[in-house]
Amino acid sequence: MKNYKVLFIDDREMDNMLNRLMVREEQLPFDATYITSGEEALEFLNDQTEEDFPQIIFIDINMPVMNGFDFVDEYNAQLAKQPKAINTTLCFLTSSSSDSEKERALGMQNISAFYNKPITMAIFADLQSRLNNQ
Amino acid sequence: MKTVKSNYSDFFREQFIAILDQTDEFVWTLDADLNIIDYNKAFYERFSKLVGLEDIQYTSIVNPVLGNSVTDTWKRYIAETITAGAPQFFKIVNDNPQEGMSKYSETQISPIYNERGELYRFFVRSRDLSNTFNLQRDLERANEELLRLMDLYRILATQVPNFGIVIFDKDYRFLLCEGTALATVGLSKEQYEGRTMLEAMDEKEISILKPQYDAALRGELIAFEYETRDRYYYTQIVPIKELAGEVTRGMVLISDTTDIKKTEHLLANANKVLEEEVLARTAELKSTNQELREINQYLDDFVHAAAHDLRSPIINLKTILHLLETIDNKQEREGLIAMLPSLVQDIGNTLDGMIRMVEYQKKDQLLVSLLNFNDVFSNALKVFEYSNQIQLAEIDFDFSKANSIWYIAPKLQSLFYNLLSNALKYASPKRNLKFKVTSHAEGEFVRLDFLDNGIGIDLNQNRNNLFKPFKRFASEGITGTGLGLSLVKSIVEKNGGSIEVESVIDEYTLFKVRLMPYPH
Repeated sequence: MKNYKVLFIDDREMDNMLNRLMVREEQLPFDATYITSGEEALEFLNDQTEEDFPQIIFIDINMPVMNGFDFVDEYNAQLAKQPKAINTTLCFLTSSSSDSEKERALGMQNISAFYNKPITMAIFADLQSRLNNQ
Repeated sequence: MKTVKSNYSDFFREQFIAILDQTDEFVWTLDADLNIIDYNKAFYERFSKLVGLEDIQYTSIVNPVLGNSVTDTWKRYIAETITAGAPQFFKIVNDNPQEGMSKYSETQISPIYNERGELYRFFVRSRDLSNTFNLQRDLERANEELLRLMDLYRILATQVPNFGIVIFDKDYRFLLCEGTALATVGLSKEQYEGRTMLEAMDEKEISILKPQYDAALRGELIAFEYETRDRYYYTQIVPIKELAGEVTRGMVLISDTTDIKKTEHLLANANKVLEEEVLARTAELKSTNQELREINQYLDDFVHAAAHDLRSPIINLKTILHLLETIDNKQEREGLIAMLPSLVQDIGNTLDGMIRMVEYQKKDQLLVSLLNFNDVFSNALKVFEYSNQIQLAEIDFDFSKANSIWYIAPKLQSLFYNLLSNALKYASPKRNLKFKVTSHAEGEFVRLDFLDNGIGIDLNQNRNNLFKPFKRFASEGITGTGLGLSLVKSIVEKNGGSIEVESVIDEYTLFKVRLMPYPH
């Protein structure tokens, strides 16, 4: 089975490092890219062909300049309607436990789920079931 | 009237008696032996009742029914009249009269002689004076009572402070004029008592007072207030009624109310001052309340942000511990372990910040005092004394142009702390931090300039968001949630200050903070 193409957006190097290690240790079937700001992520996604476009995007909420919500707004405006993004699933991966943030996050267009860090097999399993149900 | 035989012509006699019947005097005649011969209606009614006879003609006036003292009196009066040989007047006082007798009476007895000079008849007229006498007695008593009352009034007027009594009669004559309040209005006992208004007062006074006195004499009660020679008087004029309800006198009661007025005035003033004080205190409380609410809001925001700031490193700690269980690679293990101190440091910093916020909330610290910038800045630096970054930084300050300000200590502390913290957070990784604070007097403001050589802020993109909570403006290893600048802005603007920012990316950031001193 082919690995999923996955994009992690998180401003902290440490968190990206930990995500990378967790993906490996949990043996998640990911071909993952790690990007440290929303702006760079938009640039990256605009550059991707339909074939390379990530199937799953994990977004941190609390980021400087462009936070996770800002990124999703921009993504919805610039990318969501492009054919290459049709099969892409967006979810938040954050250390936030705030109900209001979770509510706001799940109310956003194209957001499938809200997960707490770190990335685990359990998260992937949940996500996979959602993907299959779609 | 019974018809009787007599020597008078019948006609004359009848006419005469008819006339006498009209009077309420008692008129009768006696013969020389004191038997009743002729009498008028009044006498008949009185006498027949007294002696219990219907026919009283030819009965003796010396009737035992009348009692010894009365009959003796009559005998004596007759004897005196015979002796005098001419009409006699007698005033009779009967101290213990029988029913139907007069207590006070006046009697005239006239002897009548015939042609031969012999005593033939006695002509007697008698008037009952009881009513007249009683009236006189009552008048005397009323006068006595009045005099007694006058004495009481005098005592009252002289004993009650700032009080006076004037009593006048129908002729506007002052019967009494007494009291301490009178001297100040120019009334004196010596000048007024016994004299009439016309005699004692000038035209102007009369024109004012006479209508009032007249009204009282008509039975009206008058009350008025007036001011003269810087003193206030309350005056009442009371009608005094006599026996038959007739008003014959008036009484003027004068109270000097100056002291009361003054006290009232003082009280009114005190009340006014008190009211103003209450209003001021209420406004103060409201503003303190508002301030506390704002602080509470910030605490809420802060707790929210701090919770996130705590949660994030703790989750990373857990993740690291989890990974350490499965990873065997020595290099990777060391890499993970190396992450631990900075995470612990993050947690520590966040807790410090929380403690500072809690202290900031303390109500008794929200007092205005004269704060020295040197002290406040040194305190802010102390918070960071264990930070490696600050050991390497070049920190400079110059507060010589304005060295102090009347401000609220925790607010100024927070301002310095947050701007210093901000400079440390956004220091450039390419060079050691240079941070300089200077003060300037700027009219009623004190301006503080905070200059750093950090990574700078892209103002084109961020100017609008710069001072909003939960905004961070750089990435790359910067922690914290960006509450600091919004708190600084709120503190400064709270009492009319302002904050501006200048920046060039990767060169410098300059915060110009205009502080308005608090009134003290």
